[in-house]
Amino acid sequence: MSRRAMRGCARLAPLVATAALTAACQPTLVDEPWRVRGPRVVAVRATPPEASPGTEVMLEAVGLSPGPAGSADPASNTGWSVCRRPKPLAESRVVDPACLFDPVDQVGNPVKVTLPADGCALFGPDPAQPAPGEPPTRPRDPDATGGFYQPITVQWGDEPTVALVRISCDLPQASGAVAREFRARYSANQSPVIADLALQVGDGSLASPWELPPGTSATLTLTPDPFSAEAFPVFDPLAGVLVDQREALAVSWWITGGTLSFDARDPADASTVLWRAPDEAGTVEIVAVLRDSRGGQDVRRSMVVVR
Amino acid sequence: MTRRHAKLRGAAFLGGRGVCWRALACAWVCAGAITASGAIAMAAPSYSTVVRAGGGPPQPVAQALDAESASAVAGSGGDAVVAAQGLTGVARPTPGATGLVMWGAQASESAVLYEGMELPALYHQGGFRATTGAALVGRIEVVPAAFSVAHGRSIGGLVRVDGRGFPAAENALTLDASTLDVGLAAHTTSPTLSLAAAARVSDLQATYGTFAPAATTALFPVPRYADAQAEVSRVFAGGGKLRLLGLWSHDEVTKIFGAPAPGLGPRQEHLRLSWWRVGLIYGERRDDDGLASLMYVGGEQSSDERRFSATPTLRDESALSVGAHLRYRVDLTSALQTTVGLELLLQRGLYRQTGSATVPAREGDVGTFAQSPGDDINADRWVVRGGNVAAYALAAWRGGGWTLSPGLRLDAFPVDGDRSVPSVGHTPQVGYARLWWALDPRVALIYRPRPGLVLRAAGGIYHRAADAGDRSAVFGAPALAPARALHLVLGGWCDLAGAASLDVDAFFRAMDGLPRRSTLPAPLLGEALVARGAGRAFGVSATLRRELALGVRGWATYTLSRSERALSDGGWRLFDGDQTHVLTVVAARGWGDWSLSGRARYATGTPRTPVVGAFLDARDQRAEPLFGVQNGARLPAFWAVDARVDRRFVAARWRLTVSLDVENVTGHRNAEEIVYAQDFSSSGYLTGPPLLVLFGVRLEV
Repeated sequence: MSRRAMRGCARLAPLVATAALTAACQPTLVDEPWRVRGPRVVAVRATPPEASPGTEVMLEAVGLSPGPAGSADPASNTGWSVCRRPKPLAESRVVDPACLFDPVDQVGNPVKVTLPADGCALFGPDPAQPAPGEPPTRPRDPDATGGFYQPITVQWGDEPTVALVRISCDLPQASGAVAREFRARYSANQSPVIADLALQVGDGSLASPWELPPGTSATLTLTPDPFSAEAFPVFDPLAGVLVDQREALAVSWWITGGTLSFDARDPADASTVLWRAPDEAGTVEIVAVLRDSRGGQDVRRSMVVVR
Repeated sequence: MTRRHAKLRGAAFLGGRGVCWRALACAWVCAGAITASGAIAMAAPSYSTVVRAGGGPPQPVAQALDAESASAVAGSGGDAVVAAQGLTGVARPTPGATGLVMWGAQASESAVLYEGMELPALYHQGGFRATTGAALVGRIEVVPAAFSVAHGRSIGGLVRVDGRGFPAAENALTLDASTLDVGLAAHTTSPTLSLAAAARVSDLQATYGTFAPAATTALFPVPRYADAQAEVSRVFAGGGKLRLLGLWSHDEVTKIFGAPAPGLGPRQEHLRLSWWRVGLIYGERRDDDGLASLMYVGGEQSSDERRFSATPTLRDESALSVGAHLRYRVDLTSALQTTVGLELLLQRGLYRQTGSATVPAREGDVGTFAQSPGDDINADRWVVRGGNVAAYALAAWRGGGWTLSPGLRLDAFPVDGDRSVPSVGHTPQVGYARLWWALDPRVALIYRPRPGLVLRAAGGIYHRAADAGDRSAVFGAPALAPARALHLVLGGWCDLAGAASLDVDAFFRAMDGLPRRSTLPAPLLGEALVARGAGRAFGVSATLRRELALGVRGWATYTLSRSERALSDGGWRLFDGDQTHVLTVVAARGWGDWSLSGRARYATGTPRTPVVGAFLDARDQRAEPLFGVQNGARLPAFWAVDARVDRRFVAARWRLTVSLDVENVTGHRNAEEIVYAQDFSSSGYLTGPPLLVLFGVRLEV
């Protein structure tokens, strides 16, 4: 977008002479959030993706490094810390940043983590009972899917990563009848499933293992399992009723080499992207992440040999 | 010369030697230095302050601009109220700002009045035009602090816009067209009756909007606005005057930002604000002495809709207000004048919000430009009835070159709402009712030891009720108490040799009880906002006015200030709109039907919180910033040079004025915001327009 904006400004410049207004312009930024510049965790798979506080979940960090493929997998040196600090209401980010610097609770990958039993009090709608004479505290707000999340910090590589595990809590602000109906109708989230990940050059799909000449342009396509998007009820606090929603699926990409281009006509749909292989021979790792709007994820990791 | 002789009738021109920038103060105190004239004859912008001085004691630190002169200031685009952005103590507005930051107080802490009626916004979205229109505006007065007890509901400054008077027995039609908007105004007057109306609508969509790439409109979106004003006035035989005023304004703007991450849609924000006022004003005498009254009703509707990926946010407001102001002023003796008044403002508002509690953004929020709001959402619908009832008394004693104006204002701030805590299921909602009292003593002391020198000091206590929109049990706090401020000003004016004058004021403002977000990890129920914010601002403002060689007149204003807000841990941080240095230099020259003006501006960049790192939100596959010290960095300093040329063609029955107003003629790229790559690995400056060219034609028949 930035380069387009600059080109737009260049087109606009002659209009100054015709007494029109000129526009503000954005700087040219290298905006490649999908590029892995150093070792980092790019996804965390939680099994199950939604669990009750006090129960165990299996967490697996998926890491990438721009070095030789598989040279720096997050394994025994991956640190995990379970956040117990709710973020202030004014905090726009998903976690209180102080949790990023918590001491490590466990090391390894994958790990079994026991979710704090008071998760719904810390991060959910069940505020702690006030002391006698004290006013009650405000319940936490859910996300757009009605969910509450336990933050867990993963320390490996250059940047910390925060995993958010959906926790099953009661409904805030709902009547007893609506809460009962919710319990009866709501099913805990299941992770979406990647049905296929294909690499196409021209009209033909490449068979695995993938090999390409340097500089080749290819199309990466992720196909989700058709049953990945589940339906679930969400409480509407203004109307006081349950509203049915269906999960939205989104796709993210991470690569260690080459360049990705997204479809400018529909930037919200990243299931198909154009990948241009690097000009030098080598091995490129690609991670595709399919996620649903309730925090479930499936991850597919592939390797492409460029020669 | 007695004070009453010096009192100005109608429009008066403060010009030539002894020009006093603090016009109102001088109109009252330095009466001997004033040249009075009944009409404004503007062959060229003189930049002298023209006022229609009222009979009451002055606002000690007021600055007033005559609309006709001010509209010819370079960079004003022909809109006089926009020229007020260059007055002393006013910070350079950020792009698109709809109000003025005065002496370290944010725009929402100040009051905007049109003939005494409170307005929700001074400028249309974009900041290019005033919501009050231009055709019927006669005077703009800016009081950055220490105003008298006759005004309340502000802990910051005061902006007063007054209508203009038209010559008797005149009929005129004016067509105004520019690259910003198209306007039509008409007035007809007789010795006792006057009718005037004006309307304008933006044409930016057809000019700028046709060519501007969508990606460049994040900071400077193309606003759509329209406004209309009407006035009917009748003068009675005894000198009384009755005026019926109507104002209407509409704004709409869509801001388009990029996607926060691949695979997510672009972020959009759509703002809409419409409001109207209808007022009836009666003045017993033309010089504002005796009985003066104002009654008005008004309404406003606004919406703010944001689509930032999975977190849509909507905020609707709809409010009705009724206001009244009754004042009686009388000279008890030749040296003592008293003013008593009653003021009333009642409002009923219906509010609805769905989405994040971090929307709308508030002063003190830490974030990056166009950062997505928090992903946790809620919803609320609330009704608030409230307002302000006030009584005040003001005395003014004069003697021996001294003028002492003590005043006392008693405010009651009643409020009641339909919900004190968030609704839970079918539990009956519990309303609330509160009443706060405030007693505000204020005093102004002006001393004139010799002709050409005025010393002044002023100060007082000020209160302002919390916005009804902040009284949500979910997103705000129903029981927010009024905020309070202490203003202190010490300054003077002196007539320098060589047709120059210098005005200097030192100021201090302390505020407490400011509504701010709760920083608790678990806020109390119904206390997402708390009235525990505090702030302070101090500094010095100076204005030098001088008549230069070859008929060039000019002024230079400079403000050195520091404005801070308290942190929850007891420390202090910079106010979001703090600008250490603000310098404006204006010069103008007229040759017959030509007039030229130039303006140079310099302002320290506003504070920003630096991003020192990032982490990955694995759920949303999106980078989140790690911030350094709050407001620990600044944007680069702003500077720009503006120029304006007007050419007037006069015939027997018509007058045509062609103008060209060019802002930032050097094309300097001023940084207005910091933008970051989606993974925060790099950053750059979003810059303002390299050149802003406004071409205008005005035909008066």
